[in-house]
Amino acid sequence: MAVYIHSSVSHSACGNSYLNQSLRFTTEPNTHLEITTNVEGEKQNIHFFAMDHVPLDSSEARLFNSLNCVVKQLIQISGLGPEELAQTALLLGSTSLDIGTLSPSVDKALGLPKIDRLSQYLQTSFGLHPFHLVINTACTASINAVLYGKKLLEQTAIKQVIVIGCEFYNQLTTAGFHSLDLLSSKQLLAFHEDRQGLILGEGIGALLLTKTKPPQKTCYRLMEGDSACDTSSLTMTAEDGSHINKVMGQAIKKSGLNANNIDLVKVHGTATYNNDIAEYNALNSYFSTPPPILALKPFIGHTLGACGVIELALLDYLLAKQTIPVANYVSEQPQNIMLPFTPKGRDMSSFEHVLINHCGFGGNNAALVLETV
Amino acid sequence: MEMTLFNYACFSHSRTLDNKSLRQQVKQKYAVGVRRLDNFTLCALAAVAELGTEVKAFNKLSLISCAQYFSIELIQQMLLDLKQNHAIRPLDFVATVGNAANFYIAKEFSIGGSNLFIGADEDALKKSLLLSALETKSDKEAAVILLVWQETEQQRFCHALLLGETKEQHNTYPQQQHLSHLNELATMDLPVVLVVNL
Repeated sequence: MAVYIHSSVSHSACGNSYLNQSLRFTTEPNTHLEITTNVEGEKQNIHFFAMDHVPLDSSEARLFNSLNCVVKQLIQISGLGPEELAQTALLLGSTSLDIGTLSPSVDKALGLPKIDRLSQYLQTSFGLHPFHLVINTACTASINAVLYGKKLLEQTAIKQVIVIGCEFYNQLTTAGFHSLDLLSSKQLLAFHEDRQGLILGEGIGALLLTKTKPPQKTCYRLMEGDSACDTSSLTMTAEDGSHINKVMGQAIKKSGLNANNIDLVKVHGTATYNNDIAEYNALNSYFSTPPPILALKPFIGHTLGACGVIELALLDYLLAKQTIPVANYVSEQPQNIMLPFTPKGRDMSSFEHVLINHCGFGGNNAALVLETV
Repeated sequence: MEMTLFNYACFSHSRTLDNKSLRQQVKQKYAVGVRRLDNFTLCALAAVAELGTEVKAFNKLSLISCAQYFSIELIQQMLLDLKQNHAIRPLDFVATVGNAANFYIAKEFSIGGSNLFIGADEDALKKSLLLSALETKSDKEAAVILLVWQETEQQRFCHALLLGETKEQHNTYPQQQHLSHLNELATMDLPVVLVVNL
């Protein structure tokens, strides 16, 4: 059975894809955060890709309003009525969920909200099918939600699936990544030899998956995917790329394709030293000559568990455009670029098969093949 | 959808039991690696160990785990550290990632297939069984270890289910429709064919 990305909305540093304006693909982070370093409590400014036009704070109102707004937009453009919504399951992928809104409580043994608070809220607000849940597998959370959303459509009577990827600014994530020394003080230079690390970002992506192709538009069909756990390290996948290679290979094989059929790879591309090396090794070992790549994190930052859906929503948006965003550092310093990027001049719709690649903490790697139809 | 439940085990501990004591208890009883693990992970590790050697009969294992809450002790401590302007320690931060427990379980029991940590409260068993069934249907080689945590103010439980595709030779097993309560499992004669639907 075929499963399609019927419609999509994303809201990130690029802007809101549903508003009647072009998204701004700039590699300049749109805000700065102040965090306390370990050195005598000194303050340091770090870059951050915040959602465009949404004042930055960690309030519940900001989180719930923006989430509500994006899902409402998705429902509007897809034209789903109440009866159809009642047949629509919801899968939500995120790393930090609502953690920014929480305060510690030493008095209460169970002082935290439940993990599925956000999906429960959306299910109730929009009258969705009772089947809702949260997938929490670090940076592969929402791509895993897409993979299992596809299986739900193929194997159950559910009519549609809404998949959300969301990540919101919070101090814990920022301080945690800072402690791991993974943050770049400049740009996010995915697959650049002198990359310095990632820049965190936030955003919401929403996809409607259906069993029927949306009328009168080019769209993506979800072919097959794969997801598995690399137990070599909690924080990073095997640097030789062997596990990513295996997962990509499975996704392509299950799709009935081979390496030669892949026209474009949407890389994970966090610009951390180890992740890019692992992905580089995987692509070079799997493909005799790697296909061109597209990296979206230079424009939106690393949106962690949300990146799977946000980046798919951006690809869906780009399908109707004549240009592909490629960061300036790629053309300015070609001698330092580790893998060939796709040229700006090509239509996204000209790539028949696109491989989507994601890696995450906890050893999770995931891949998905898209077909342009 | 049908799938076969081959085995079931449960481990529980008092919420007042300190981390060091639980580590010792789990290490002594099951001979598994417990270094730096929090009680949430230890409870799950022990539950999988309780499943016994039957898990080794399968060439490929996937792991699906389902909880209402994250590791409460870890998250509370991190939020407190942050509030008090204490430096966040890298390993503590990484341990709060939802699927950290899954990583340690996968490593200990050589689980190389899919690996999902999901959050669900209402109908948690039904939802996680359905995901497990999707997994066994789409990857017929893989058996699934399904973990479901349950927490009260006093106790933490972790239930472990060993599930696989229902094969033709399983037609002699009894069928169980609409399993909705974990406590039904403790008294069930296994193996059994579970019928799961939305």
